[in-house]
Amino acid sequence: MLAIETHELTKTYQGIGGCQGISLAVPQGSIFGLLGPNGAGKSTLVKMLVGLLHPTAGEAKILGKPIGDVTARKRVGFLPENFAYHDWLTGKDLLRFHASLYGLGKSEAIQRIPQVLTRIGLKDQRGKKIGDYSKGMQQRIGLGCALVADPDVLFLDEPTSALDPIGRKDVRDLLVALKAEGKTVFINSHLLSELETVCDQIAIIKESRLIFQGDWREIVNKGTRVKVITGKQPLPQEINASGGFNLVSHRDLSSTGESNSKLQELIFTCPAGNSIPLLVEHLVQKGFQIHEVTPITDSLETMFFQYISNSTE
Amino acid sequence: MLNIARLTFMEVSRKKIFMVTIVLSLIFLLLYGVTLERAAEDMSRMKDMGGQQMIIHQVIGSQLLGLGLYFASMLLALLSLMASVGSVASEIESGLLHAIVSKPIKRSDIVLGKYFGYGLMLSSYALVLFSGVMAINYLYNANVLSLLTGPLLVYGALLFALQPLILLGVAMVFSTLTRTLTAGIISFTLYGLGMVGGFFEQIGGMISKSSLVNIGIFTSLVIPSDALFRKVVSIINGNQDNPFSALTAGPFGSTVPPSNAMLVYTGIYILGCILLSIYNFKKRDL
Repeated sequence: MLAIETHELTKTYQGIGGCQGISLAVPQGSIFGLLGPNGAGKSTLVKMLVGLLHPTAGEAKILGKPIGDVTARKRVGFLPENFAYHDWLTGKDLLRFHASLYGLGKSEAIQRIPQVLTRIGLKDQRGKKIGDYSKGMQQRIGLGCALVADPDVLFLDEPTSALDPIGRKDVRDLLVALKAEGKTVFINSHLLSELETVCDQIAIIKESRLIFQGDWREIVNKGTRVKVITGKQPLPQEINASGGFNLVSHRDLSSTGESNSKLQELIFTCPAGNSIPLLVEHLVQKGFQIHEVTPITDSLETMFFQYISNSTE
Repeated sequence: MLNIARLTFMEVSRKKIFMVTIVLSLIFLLLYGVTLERAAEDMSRMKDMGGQQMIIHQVIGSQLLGLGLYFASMLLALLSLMASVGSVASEIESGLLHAIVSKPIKRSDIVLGKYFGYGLMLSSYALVLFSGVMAINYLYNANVLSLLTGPLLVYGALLFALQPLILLGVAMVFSTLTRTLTAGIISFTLYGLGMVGGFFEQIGGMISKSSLVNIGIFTSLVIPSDALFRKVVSIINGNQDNPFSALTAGPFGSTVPPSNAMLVYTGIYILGCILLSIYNFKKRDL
């Protein structure tokens, strides 16, 4: 069973904007990143999935149940992008209130709340009023509200927007820990570098439509580039033809003024990540002395910009 | 629903507008008490004049009682509208409801919880205010309450406490439908319409002008807050049994007491407001 499943999910405003025809499949126990430029429809999609917006068309299921189903929502946590909470309540009281919204019993809440406070790093501030919290602390308590019922699926809309670098790292560690516990995390964020470190799969939305969905590492590894430092020797004619490798760059390191003046740098594109040993074997057969082999992996950012610009053309 | 109602009740009691209204209420009750005390002194001086003092007592006393209840009702209306008009709209605008609506709770429970939280607080406040006004009248204006029995007093108090529920219902309908400012403007306009319609109806009753009475009846159908107030006044004045009931006429009196059918209509009106608020909120995109 998928954690989140949407089929042609659409939300438009007078026929335009929002998001259109979104079909997603998010496996359980994964961290799924939702990317897209501002106004692409990311928040619209998240809001539909958590029941804040009514879809114009299509359908969506969470843990096999329709999005409006109350039993499914018992297993869902949500941190809104524009988080706002009752500022006159203390952090502990707020968690108690949200626990009651989940239908948690008093004893269950008493047991659960200290765990959550520890997890979000607000144990010592539990008696402080929300109004006296910093922006980052408010975002943390929002995360606590989402986690208080130990949900199986967690929707986080820009979860680190108000956090400092330490807070961001804490959240990243928390996400990894949640994944290890088998939870599914669906993140909407602009911070590509953060998604890159934690996400298994991503979806990219542009101008209300889904333009990519899948394992981003698989994509960037598809056309792996490899930098090879070899001893300096003439390049044979057939080096490009064998094994699907393509030499795309050749540089004599003696011209750089470096101490390794008898070396050269070759950059190849390979059909897949596991073809690197074949390339090395091939070069050795051709008599090259191999000094260094480094795969060059594209970042999520590079891939994101490629998709965004390609879909424009 | 109960957790929302409890939180709402606590929240209203913390709002500045509530504290301001409490202070204004105390000032009002103090001034009202002083006025009635002075009036009572004047009345006792008039005792020896003979002749018409009984009628004068009744006319002035009724007007003072009506005035007290009217201003208490106005204070109550201000608090009801100002506290509740943003109950849903402002929480949508601030994002406060986003984390709540996404929880496993029905949207209808959120509306009902808010309605009962505000309703309990406002009705309790209404009873305190009503008790204050009546206590002052028992102290300094007891003649006018000579026909008021215990059951009628309780009945009047309950109807008085029902007033904020009408305005709360109206405010919730618009709060679930529009933005806070719009909801506020519409709700206050409707309340004002009810007030003006009520005055028209009383004046129409005094000068036997049916067109003015009909305008009053029409506005009572649009918003029955003023009609309910007139009903309270007629009960407190004991209009049905009072041989001087005609003397209670005036802007704060009740020359044309609303029928019991109007009370049934008020009940249906409140229920309709709650159902409409639920419908609006269920349909609304946040």
